[in-house]
Amino acid sequence: MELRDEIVEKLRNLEIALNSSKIQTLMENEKDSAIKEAFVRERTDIIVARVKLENAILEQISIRLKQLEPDIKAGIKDLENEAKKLKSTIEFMSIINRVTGLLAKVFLII
Amino acid sequence: MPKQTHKAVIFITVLITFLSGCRSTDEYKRLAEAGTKYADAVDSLLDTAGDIRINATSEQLLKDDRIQNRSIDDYIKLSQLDVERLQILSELRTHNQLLKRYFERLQELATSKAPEQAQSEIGGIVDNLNTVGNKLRGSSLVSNNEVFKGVTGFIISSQIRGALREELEKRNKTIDLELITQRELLDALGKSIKQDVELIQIAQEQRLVINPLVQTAPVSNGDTWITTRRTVLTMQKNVSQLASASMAMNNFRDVFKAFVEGRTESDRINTLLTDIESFVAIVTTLK
Repeated sequence: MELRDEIVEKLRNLEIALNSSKIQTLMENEKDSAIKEAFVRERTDIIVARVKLENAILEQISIRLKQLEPDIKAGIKDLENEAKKLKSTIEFMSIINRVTGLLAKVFLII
Repeated sequence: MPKQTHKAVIFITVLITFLSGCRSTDEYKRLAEAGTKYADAVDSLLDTAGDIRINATSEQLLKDDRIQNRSIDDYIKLSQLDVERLQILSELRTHNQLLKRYFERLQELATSKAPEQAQSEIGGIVDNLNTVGNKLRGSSLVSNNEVFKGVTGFIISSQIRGALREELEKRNKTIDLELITQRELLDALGKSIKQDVELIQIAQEQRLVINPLVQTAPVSNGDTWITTRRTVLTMQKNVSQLASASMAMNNFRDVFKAFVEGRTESDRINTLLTDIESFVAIVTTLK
């Protein structure tokens, strides 16, 4: 496990512990507003750190995926070209069909 | 049709079969279908991940507020993280749409009606030529219409298979790297969702289950309270299911790789399709 992943995991565990019903109730009933303020600030800092690290991990994955986009786009283009080629072949055959159809009609009239 | 022409047609058919690879168009179709569904499933997960993140922050803000009144700056500090996350998820969804388009184009080519259309057109051409032949020399120019139709359809079908095979061979490394990176994405998202759902569960158990219960007045609607409690307590079960479903989704890379290397059995693609459907169902329950 990478150091970054280890840190995120530790922050997650800490975040869960600080959000437990027991601690929440304790802080809600705390009389000293300075303690309350300090607790919420510290807890928020841990949340911010955890989510920021997760965002950084996702951002890095996103950047790596984006690097593959030109080749995927080229693949889409190639497949579309192939579909166009097939369409042209069918259209060409359709024209031949119509031309020979007219020819057959002419011969039937003669 | 003269015998030698028959032989030539059979030879060309065999040659084309060899050149276009042994996979049937149906196998390509199902691989492409799996790819499209996979991209849809990831999209659904990205969407759900955003919603869960927002809900987790909302619960957090309410929890903080119960301890001490919150300021606008306190709100922005947490809310800004969601905005950043949503931006990243949006970028990932845009990329995912591109991957979906790729598999859709593969699927379109694999399900093309061109072979049938070509058969129909060639059938018409042969009929017309025979009409002319009968008029000119009293006999058909082409004796076996069905052979011509069959060979034409086969040639077009082989052309499609050849193009599909060539495309996968050309893009093999990119798609493989894409799917390896997607595994990391599923893992990272899964861990983040697990954390957020756990926090939401703790917060909702307190807010919706414990607080109404410990108040002096009795719980007003017992049935609603019971349902809420069950929903809240089973949230983690859905997250555990998501983890196993994600692992099944990860099989797509192995299936794709095996397919390109000519090793995939049809059953594996079928299993994958079922796994993807289960994954989407679980993601939907998390919303």
